[in-house]
Amino acid sequence: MRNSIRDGSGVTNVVSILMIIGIVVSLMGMVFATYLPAWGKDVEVQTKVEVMDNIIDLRSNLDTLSVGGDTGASLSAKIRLGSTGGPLFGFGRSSGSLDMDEESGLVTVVDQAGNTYGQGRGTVVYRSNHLYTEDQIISMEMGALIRNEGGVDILKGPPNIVIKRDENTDQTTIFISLFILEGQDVSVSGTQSYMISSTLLSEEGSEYDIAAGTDITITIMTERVLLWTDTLRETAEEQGLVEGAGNDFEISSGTDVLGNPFVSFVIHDLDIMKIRSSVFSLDVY
Amino acid sequence: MATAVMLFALMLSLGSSFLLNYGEVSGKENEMHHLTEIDSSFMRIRNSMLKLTRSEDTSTSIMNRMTLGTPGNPYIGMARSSGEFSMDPDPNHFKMEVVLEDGATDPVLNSVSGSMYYRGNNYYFNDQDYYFEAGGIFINEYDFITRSVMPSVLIQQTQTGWIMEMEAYDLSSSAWTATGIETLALRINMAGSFSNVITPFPGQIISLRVNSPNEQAWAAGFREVLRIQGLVEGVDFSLDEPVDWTDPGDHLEVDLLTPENFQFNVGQMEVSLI
Repeated sequence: MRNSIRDGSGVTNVVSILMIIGIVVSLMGMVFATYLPAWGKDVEVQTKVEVMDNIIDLRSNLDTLSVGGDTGASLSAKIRLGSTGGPLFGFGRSSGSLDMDEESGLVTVVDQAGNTYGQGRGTVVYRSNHLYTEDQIISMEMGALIRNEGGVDILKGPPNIVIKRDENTDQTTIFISLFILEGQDVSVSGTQSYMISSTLLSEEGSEYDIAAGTDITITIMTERVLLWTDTLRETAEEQGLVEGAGNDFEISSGTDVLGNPFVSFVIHDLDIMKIRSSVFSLDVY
Repeated sequence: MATAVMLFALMLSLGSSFLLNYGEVSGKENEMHHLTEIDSSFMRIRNSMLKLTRSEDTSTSIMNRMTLGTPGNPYIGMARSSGEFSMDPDPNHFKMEVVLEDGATDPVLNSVSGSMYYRGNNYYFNDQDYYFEAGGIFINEYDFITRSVMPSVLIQQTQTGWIMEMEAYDLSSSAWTATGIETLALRINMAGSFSNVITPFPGQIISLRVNSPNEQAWAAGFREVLRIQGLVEGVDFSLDEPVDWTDPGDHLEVDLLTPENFQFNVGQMEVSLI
């Protein structure tokens, strides 16, 4: 030790080790300040994409069961609520919640005399809890997939409402697929994955010849009034229907006696209405 | 000082070697997994078409999805693969005709055309192209073509012979192409369907003529499917293969020599992007 101090080599070693520690610390600082947030963002974006895929699979399962009409048949879809984060310090860890409510999202199809042709109800809502990116809310109401990010609603999957106008006969037909989601109201949250099992309990299709002068009204209880208004308007206008009193259809919105918002779509001079009502049991496990 | 610098260099080289090797292996694994998913997506689309055809449902639609690329890995800067998914209604690219060969006029009784394809653009694993033709799924990897699944063909043995039933999907609606890495939401619906039962007279042959870039896989698939269900090549059926598999002017011909009847079920499908 005494020799080392005398010839100066020990001092050199200490200085070089200090320099290496300095380099390592500055590298770590750069990684923490720049890369980890970027990685965290990337992990969250991937989680968002996967959740959307999962909910598309859920809708696909409901469509498939409804079309097949195999009562008692089940299909399962995975849903990932969040991410446990990446391997480095768990960056990108995010959680989410899933709520199923069998009473919300009521849809009714009636005429002006008060005759009810069909009803649908039940919503599935996913809410993310992200740190680096904007949170998203994905809702499935009346089969429609709606993503809300930054307060803006985007339709990711249209509802099963099809309007067809025959150019030759001028006959207008509307097809409506109504989903009734039953099962216990469920609310789960966390970072893990769950399975949603969809079982078709019953399926019934009806076709109605609509008498002249009968107005058919579809009322949708929803918080997303603007998006539903635009969607229904586009669906009708794509077939050449004209909006306005005395024309082919009217759209209005408002709130019921309890203050719940709704959108009302009235179609005049309809010739044929086909309604399929599918009752599902959704179980989360 | 020298020891410290050497240690530091060793750490750096070990770190970069790990990143390079792990990135390669992980990237390859991701891409292989993604290709399996593409195959599954086509299978789900086919299943949706089958549901709509069986229930003769022209009103509603079934939602599906197709993911074009891989997500990559943010920690090691792994490249993301992309892909191209197209709807190609052109009958010059795929067509299957059912022809009644009677030695004279050979009338075409029915046909389906149009196809969908996915072309992968991978960085780590081999590129693969997937074709969906009439309900069959075919894979092309560096011009080696194989089948994932053939269109549904069912042979039923009867006391006096055999009958054949085939499901096929026509995709002759609009054309579109999507490229990128994201997930596409798709809407599958049926414009119409028809079913023909053809009962040949003695001396008549029912011939299935396939014009496709994947004729080799079609030939191998038909041979296997028909043999597995108890038919004998040269007795019950025969294959007339094109001289040049790559010649779009030449076609594969599968002759059904002795069926009592042949039922051809066709769904005229529409696949659209949401």
